[in-house]
Amino acid sequence: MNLTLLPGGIYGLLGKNGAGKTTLLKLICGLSFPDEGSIKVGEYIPSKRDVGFLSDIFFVGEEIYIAERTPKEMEKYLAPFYPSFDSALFRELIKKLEVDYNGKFSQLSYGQKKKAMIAFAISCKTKYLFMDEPTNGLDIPSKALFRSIIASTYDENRITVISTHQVRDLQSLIDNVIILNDSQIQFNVSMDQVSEKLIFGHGSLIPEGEEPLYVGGGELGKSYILRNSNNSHSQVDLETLFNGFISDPELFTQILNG
Amino acid sequence: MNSLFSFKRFRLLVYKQYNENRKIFLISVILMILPAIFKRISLPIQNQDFEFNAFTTFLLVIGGMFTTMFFKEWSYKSRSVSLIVLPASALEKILLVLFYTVVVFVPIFTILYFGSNFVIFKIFKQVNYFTLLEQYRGLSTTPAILLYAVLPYIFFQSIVLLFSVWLKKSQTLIAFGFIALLMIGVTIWNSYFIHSLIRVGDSLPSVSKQLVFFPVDVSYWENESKIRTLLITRNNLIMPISVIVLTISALLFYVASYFKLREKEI
Repeated sequence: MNLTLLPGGIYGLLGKNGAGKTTLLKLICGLSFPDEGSIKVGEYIPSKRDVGFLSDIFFVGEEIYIAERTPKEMEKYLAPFYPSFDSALFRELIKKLEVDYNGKFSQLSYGQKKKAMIAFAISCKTKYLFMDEPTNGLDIPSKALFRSIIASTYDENRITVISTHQVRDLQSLIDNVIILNDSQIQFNVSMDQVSEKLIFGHGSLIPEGEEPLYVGGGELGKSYILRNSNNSHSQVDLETLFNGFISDPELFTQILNG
Repeated sequence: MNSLFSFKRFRLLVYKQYNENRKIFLISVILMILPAIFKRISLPIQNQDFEFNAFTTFLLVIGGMFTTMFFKEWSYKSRSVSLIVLPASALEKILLVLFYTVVVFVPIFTILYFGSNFVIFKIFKQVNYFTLLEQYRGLSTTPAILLYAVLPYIFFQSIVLLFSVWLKKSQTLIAFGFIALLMIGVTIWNSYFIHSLIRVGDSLPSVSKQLVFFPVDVSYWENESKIRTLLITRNNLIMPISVIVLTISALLFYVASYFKLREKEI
């Protein structure tokens, strides 16, 4: 496995359940250690868990733990561990996500707690932000808010990796897509590269003379992928891309890595 | 940035731990007062041995409860993740446990336990409570408390910590099971060991009738009329060896916990 992530990128880590997304994030965060090979995050080796490294990263796990206090109290005792923590931003995000700043976590739903944790993670302004299935437990309006918050707090010096199997949640949010299959990274490409190589379409009519690489049914009708042989531009449909990849991993790996 | 230890980070850890577990801390403080009332209602015995043994037992039980509740994040997966990625060193995290379970808990427990007992004894016009604590097994109060209560407490705490860091599931249960087995094992061993050291007149006390405590320097011999005789071993090495073994073991367990925490994987 070979993977290089660059500052300023919002990476979508996609894969089926059990593909190894969480394991990869844990390896990068120093929560698990590689059996072989090496991982470097900036100047740090994650498995050493240097304090400098730990204050540069924030990991939002699929299962989260928040003590039964309030967001205000959490900010008071947890934020000092993160030197770049932005208090004003935290309050703004908490408000946007409709979480009560003075409300007890014990009285909040799992989704509310998760939103508070996401707001806190972004406000820490760490160099690396890793989120494992962050939209699990969020309702549909909150998923939209999540996307808007990640986009609006973009930082060109930060690497953000969001792992999910709910591909649609990352639509129009990420600028790089990494697909993991059987613990192997199949490709790590920018959305522009995907758009240069593939055309995505919807509807029952596939353009004449075109041989689709993938045709799938969706809630909004048929969706398909074509080779982009005449430099056209189309919006990348992540769900269709992911389904296309699942249907023929070799073909899509070859095209996107080529 | 000092990656091994920083007082600033340690202070933040102490502050965070207290804030996240304030309720548990307060419940534990209340629990420290309850033994005096419980003893008054259920165990109206008044003698030095009983008082010291009761103190040790309640210190171990309430201390065990406090530790398992106050440091829950060491035992659950989602909580362990937040513990590991928290920007503080493994040494600071281990010292945090030592700080709360020993430096904070033991003095508070001692003051509240003895204080509440003193008040209860006063209210019910019993003997002056502190006269019961003047001497224990030939030692004055402070060394007796340190030797017979605090040292075993620290030893057991170090075992609980090591198991919490080492194991992935049922850490507390396994740690307490291990401690129970250890105590049974040591007691059985002591029975035979003491048997070989103690003489009552020209005869040996019956092993089955001995109640042996840990660390082993004394034993009781109970005759058929249920009258107890305190037996003190004449071997001067037993106590120092017990203290050294417990201290070194506890230290080793804390050091092992530090290394285990550094390499703990989720």
